[in-house]
Amino acid sequence: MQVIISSHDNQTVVTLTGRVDTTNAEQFLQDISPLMEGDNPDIVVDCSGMDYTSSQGLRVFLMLQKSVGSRKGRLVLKDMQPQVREVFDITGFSNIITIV
Amino acid sequence: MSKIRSISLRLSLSTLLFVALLIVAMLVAVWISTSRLVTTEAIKSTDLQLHSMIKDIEAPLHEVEVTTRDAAQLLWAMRDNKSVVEGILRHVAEETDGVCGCRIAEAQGDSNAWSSPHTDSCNRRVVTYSHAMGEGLALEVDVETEWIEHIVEQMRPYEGSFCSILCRDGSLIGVQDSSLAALIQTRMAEDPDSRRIYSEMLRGGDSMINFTSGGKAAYVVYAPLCTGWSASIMCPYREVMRQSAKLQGILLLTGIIGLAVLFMLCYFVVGRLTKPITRLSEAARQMSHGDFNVPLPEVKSNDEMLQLRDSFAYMQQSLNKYIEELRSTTAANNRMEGELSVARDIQQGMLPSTFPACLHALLVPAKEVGGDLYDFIAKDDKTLYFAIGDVSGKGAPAALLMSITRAALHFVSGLGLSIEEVMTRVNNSIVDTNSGEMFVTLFIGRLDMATGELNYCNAGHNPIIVVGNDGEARYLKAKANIACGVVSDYDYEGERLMLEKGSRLILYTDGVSEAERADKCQFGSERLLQWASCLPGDADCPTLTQSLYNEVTGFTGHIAQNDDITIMTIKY
Repeated sequence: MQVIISSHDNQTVVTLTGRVDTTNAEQFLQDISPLMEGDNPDIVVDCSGMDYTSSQGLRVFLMLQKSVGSRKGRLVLKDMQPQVREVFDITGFSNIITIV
Repeated sequence: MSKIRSISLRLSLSTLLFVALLIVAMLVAVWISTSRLVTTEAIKSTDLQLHSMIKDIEAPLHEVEVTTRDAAQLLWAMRDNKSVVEGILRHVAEETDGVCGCRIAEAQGDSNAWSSPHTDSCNRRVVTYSHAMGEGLALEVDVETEWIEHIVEQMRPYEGSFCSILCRDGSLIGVQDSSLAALIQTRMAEDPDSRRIYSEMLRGGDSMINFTSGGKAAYVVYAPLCTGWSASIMCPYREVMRQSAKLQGILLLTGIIGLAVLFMLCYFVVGRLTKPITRLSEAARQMSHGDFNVPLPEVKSNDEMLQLRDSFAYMQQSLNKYIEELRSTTAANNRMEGELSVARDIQQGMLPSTFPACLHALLVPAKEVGGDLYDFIAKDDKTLYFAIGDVSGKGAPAALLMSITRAALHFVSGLGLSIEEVMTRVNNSIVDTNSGEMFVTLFIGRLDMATGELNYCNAGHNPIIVVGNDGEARYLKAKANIACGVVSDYDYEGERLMLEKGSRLILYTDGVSEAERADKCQFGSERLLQWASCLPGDADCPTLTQSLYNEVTGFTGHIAQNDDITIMTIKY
């Protein structure tokens, strides 16, 4: 798993590649923890390189969503691979997180 | 393993090499300077000895010359008195030192000169001095050459040096051996070096010449005698340098003995100095076998060896400490494992373990305690409430949330509410207690055992499989409600399905569908559906759960289970 965080025009872009599973979900949480605070809550996550997420990974997305929501920001997950999208759909997370 | 060469040996050898080179350089320097000095001194000394010898020979001969001259004048004056002449002759022959014969003869060649050696009538080697008297007569006096030869033979400044007197006709005095004399004469005639010396000597020169004879370097000093002869001493340089070489040999021997002593001393001292290293290495080896209290060697010197020993002791101490910490951590871990094992028993005990004929379930946690759960309540033998769920994460936190969920589920299910109401209440109770941003995917179903009416609600859980009485398997479409514990007061939507008699439901958690092989390939929903399509129609629920579990573990092989596996099968 690799997390790259960059900033364009007041919008934070997170590029996520690889698998998010039991072994690295904690690392994922630590990597994006700087995004859980600050005045710039608009975040776009580029999921095109993400191959898999476990329920621990979903939990991190949930925490990010709650943090962004509390700061009146907008979290967008884009270009998700179908098998990952399926996990978000099954668990109902697509209902509360914007996926485009 | 390469052969160990001790530090002491290497150090000793390198010291030895260095000192040996030094000694050789010194010997060469001494040899060069002394050989120059010695040869200069030798030539000087030989020259002195030659001149001294010449004096020794010239003095008696001079006396003979004087006596002869006086006698000749006297004889000439008294030539008419025969008896006086005889008397004078007898007197000269008998009373003059070294003279062995005396006569009056006709003058031949040079007068007042010495002849070359020749043999007289009594077979003695003699040289004759003739002094002219007048009227073609000369007084001839014979002098035996024996004493001259004796002096010449005695003249040996060095072993192998060779002294001789060269007469004008080329004959030699001082060379007894006639064949040697002949050899010398031949060489003098043929060898250009020798011929040069020969002509120089006959010319009456007084000098020194270096030459090589038979491959050996030598020098010759020569000087003329008053008799017109030339005396010479030849000395081979090798003999001249013999003493010097001997000295050099003694120096060399001393050097070798010194080197041997130095080597042994060096080897011994360095060996003593490095002994602690050997001991430390032994101690390290023992420590590697787990003996951390192995005694370290004493080091008395206040140097790097002491530092090494102190560092080693420090390392030993630290290791002891770490091992102690490791032991206590391991003990704590063991205790925790024990507690987890108890927790697992408690958790397993919370799940119903006696099943009705129409239902069976299996839960295998990946860790000691897990986040999966299942539950069922058969109400009035008519209605069967059943549920399967998965808490995000694993281990103790998941297990705690699982316990809360299961307790809420069990309580709410007993109230006889609609399936949507059950889900909403369970969700709210989880949201209230969930501070760790965890969530639970949950599938709840209510099956009317009389009519086959199935009401169900899926909160983010994997779709269950329905196998019809014809054996056809399909995933049950359900509205994707959000998982429990995320949003409070979420309006969960349930659905309804009529089951035919003989239908079967397969419920599972993602530990089944996402079980992974070594190559990261997942078991997958396709494989699962395929398995469900081939179920034997008469198989009971326990057989089905075990069959699916075996299918999954057969797929993953030796790879450790990475998520809880829960399977529930229901037969209507």
